[in-house]
Amino acid sequence: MGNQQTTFSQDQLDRYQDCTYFTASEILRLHKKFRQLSPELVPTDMTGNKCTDVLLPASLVEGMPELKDNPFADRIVRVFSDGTSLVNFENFLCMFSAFSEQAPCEVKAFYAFRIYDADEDQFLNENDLVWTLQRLTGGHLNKEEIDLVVKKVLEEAEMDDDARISFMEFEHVIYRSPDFLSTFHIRI
Amino acid sequence: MNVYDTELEEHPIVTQQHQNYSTNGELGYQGYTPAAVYQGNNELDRDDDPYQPYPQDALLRNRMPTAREAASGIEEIIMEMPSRTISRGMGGHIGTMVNATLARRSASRYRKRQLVTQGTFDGIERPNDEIQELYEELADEQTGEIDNEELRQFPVSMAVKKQVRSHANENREKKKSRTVGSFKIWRYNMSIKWRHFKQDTKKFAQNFRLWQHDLKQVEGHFGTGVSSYFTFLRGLFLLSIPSFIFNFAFISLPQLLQQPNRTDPNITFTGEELLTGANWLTETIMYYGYYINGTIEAIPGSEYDMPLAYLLATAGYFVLCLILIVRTTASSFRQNYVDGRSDYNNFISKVFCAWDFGITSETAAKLQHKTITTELKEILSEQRRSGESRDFQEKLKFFSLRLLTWTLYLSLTGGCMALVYFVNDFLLDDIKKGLGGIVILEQIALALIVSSINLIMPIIINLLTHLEKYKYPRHEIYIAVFRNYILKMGLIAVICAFWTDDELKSTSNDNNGSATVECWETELGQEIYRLVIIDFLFTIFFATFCAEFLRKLLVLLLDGKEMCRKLDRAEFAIVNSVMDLIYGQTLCWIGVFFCPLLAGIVFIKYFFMFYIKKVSVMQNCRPSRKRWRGGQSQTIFIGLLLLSFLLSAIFLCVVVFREVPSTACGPYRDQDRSYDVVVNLFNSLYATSSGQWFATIMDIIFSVWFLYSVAAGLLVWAVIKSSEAKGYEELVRSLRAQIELQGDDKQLLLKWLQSTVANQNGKPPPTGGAFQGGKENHVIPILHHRDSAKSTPCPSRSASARNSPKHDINAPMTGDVLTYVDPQHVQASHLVGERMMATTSFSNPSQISLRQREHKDPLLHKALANQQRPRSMFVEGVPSSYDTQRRNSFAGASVDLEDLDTETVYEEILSDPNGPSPLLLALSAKVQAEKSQSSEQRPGYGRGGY
Repeated sequence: MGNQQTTFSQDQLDRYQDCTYFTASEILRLHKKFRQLSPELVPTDMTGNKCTDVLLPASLVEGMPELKDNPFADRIVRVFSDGTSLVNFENFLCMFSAFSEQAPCEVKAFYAFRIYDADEDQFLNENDLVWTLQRLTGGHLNKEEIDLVVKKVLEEAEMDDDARISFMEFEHVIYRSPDFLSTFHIRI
Repeated sequence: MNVYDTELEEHPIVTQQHQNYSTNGELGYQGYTPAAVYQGNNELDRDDDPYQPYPQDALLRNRMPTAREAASGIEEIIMEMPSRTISRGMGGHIGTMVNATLARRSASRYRKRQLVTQGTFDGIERPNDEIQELYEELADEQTGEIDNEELRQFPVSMAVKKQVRSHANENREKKKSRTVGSFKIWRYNMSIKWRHFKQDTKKFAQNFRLWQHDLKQVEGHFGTGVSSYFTFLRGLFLLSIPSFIFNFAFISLPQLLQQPNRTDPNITFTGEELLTGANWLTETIMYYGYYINGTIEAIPGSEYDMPLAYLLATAGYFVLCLILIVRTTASSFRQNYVDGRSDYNNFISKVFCAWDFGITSETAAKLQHKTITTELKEILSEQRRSGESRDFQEKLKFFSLRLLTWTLYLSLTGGCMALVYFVNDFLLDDIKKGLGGIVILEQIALALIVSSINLIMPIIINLLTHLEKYKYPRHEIYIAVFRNYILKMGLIAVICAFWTDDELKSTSNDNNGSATVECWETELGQEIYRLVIIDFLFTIFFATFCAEFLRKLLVLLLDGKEMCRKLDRAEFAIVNSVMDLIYGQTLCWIGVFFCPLLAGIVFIKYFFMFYIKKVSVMQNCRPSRKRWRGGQSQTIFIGLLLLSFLLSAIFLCVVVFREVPSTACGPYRDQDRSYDVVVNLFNSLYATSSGQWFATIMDIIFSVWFLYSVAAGLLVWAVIKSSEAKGYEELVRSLRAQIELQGDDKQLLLKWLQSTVANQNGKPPPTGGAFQGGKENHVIPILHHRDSAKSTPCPSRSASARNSPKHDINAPMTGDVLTYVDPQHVQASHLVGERMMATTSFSNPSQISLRQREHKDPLLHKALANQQRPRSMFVEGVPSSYDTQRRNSFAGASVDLEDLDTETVYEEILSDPNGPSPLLLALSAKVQAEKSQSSEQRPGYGRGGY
């Protein structure tokens, strides 16, 4: 327990437990992971403003074991670092909180939408879908097939016939996909 | 000329229009009350016209609408859009019930959507008012407290969350300082404490998540499919902990404190008992037979009624299991079946839910790329294929193939069951003789046979099912699971039937003869013990060691050789493994009455199983090439578990209520049925002096009428619940329809706005599908809807019918009029159908081409009636003055009159060769009205004017 006190103040721990889906021990474990990324930059003692001020470059976070094989790693980090390419510990917590088992579908759908929205125009348009598919299949699908799949996806999700998926539409369809919760999930 | 017309004469434009089109002043307000028109024009519509004529005084109210009324016009229009009117068909469901409960949630949804459009808040500090706004949105209205759950769900960055949280804390401090009643403070404090308690227990439960790391490892390498097996195993393990404690504490522990004498004290523990469960173990707390039928007085002064405790503890164990399993099943079912409809969005789930974010190994990631690709290719080709159906010959081929496999399967299963039965009945002795006196083998012979069947048959079943060539791999899995399950349950049923059958009981006792007590419960307990143990060993040895480890060794040895290229490491057989788990758990439930410590044995078994399986998977297996649809199959497995549970509960009920217990052993040796102990208990309670009231209560409870009324009450409850469920379903459906319609409505309104602006600027309206008429026509086709809405007649409806400036009354009917007639509904909907007939017959048929369109959703089509302006009014050629007035209100609402240049409007109207458009007329009339209003200030104009 003594170790806990030096890493985070009680107030910080309370705050993070209130704001994320993690328990104190999980927060500490995440801190350990965070520190492993760069022991020089991240101190053991995170009290004060260090949780927000200690910033890691996105490339380091993308390289962590949980994300390195994920084709969307760069998008994930970007979404959770608020568009900057620097990640502080709080963002890091937020990220894994959204991927945790306890996070409800609403939260996951919100972030999934932003991750798949590669050009950040708040809609999943054709380009986003093509991009997503290329990442998903690792280039094993040819152009016509991708176009066909994109067309089908739009057909299924579309409601207002504007050839792009808004967040509302995305939410609507993703709620009904039984696999979404189990796949949009990273254990820590 | 009525008052209306005199009034209108003050507006030159309107009067001009009026003179052009009106020949009869009376008709001016006949159009105003469509009922009158219909009665005049169309005999058919007389009876069921929902419109009520407006009261005369309202009719003659001699004034133009005020600005507020004009503004409410647009609201009315919006309220009449299909997306709104659809809720009326629901008896106001959507309006009242849902709005009340979902208001807050929808607010936060709205915010979320806003966040999507704006991007999340960045890390920088936000201004206070924004935080305040967020706080208000999240906080509970009454207590001002923020539920942490809400805070966590809110997708903003941590910095903002922190601010909101500290804001809430400040508010809490402020609240404390205020003077409030002590009760209120107490209640407030209690609510906070309760909240904290809930959080703490939740945290505790989270901390207790077992094997988290191992699960992560497995999931990282093999994806959610294999890890779902381990989650299942973990669930069973956790279930067995409280069960074991429960049984041990209430049954075994008291008996341990006061051990009865063994019948044969010479038998010693040799070790082989662990495998056979017989000999020395027979007379221990392990089995039913050892428990006494009296009371235990280990602690002086206290009496522990063993038979009663035995029965109640077992019942308690079952209730505990029931609660846990039903809860899991329900939540899993809700998650995967009720909320999710995978068939509906096939591609969506294969694209957005395809990537398993939990994967952490490179090989698995590569494999996943390939899996997703093949899956997408598969469904694409499936889609192409779906058009072509199998021809007759092929159908016949498949039919005969399936008939063959089913017969084969059924005969194999039947054969296995018969084999087990006969082995039990006749062959066992012969086999035993043949074994030449090896006692262990003699004892475990049956268990060996059953376990071998369980090992071999699933392979055959999978093969058979694969041969049947199901269209979807999912179906293949389900069929295989179903067959597997039937087989396993069949085997268990045969064993149970064998031991509980009266005749067999006596014969088995004769056969087994001398050494053991004549106690069929213990025998059955031993048999099940052996089955559990042997099954465990078989799983470890054959399914794990041979099929996975040896195969891996073989692959390593033969690596690179030509002939063995196809041989690869084993894939983890999820289905068979899970089925084995279900089988084992069923055995445990059945055996627990005869062998109270079975829960403990199963507990140990699961513990080892987890580690052995995990190591084997990590070392020997390769990730599956096929994708495993976790969610729904998980639900099926849990459902099968529940079914097994219910079956074993029924079996035990039969044993307790019907079967005669052995007379030589066990807690019920002097009872006719095990259940009699409860009856005796009641009888003894009656006998006591205070038992009088108890007896009365019991009499009531056990009276037929009470049972009937309970049953009736349950029935009523079930009916209410099921109709509620149906209602919710309906609600969900209409909400979905509403969402879809709202998109359409938005577009429609936008088009209206565009056209208004276009008209206002004198530009031709944009040519689109909606603008059929072009400029000369100025048609704003309100019916450019995919659907129409079902709506009940209501007063505002007629308003909207008049309101919609759908057809141009002035221009000749050259363009085609978009009308929606659902062929299926023409008969049923006299409202639309007949009005349509009336319309066409009265207008010039040559000039109007009616285009019929089919609805995507016939449910909603009645709203047409709302939007279908009764054309007979126009056919009469009399635009009513009221009509104009209503029009004004519409126009006034959608166009800002301040910006309207009156001169342009006049010019526009005059220059239009086909006559002025209704909208412009309306606008100009409006302008005129303003002018006259301001100059004359008539009485009755006043309220709420500009």
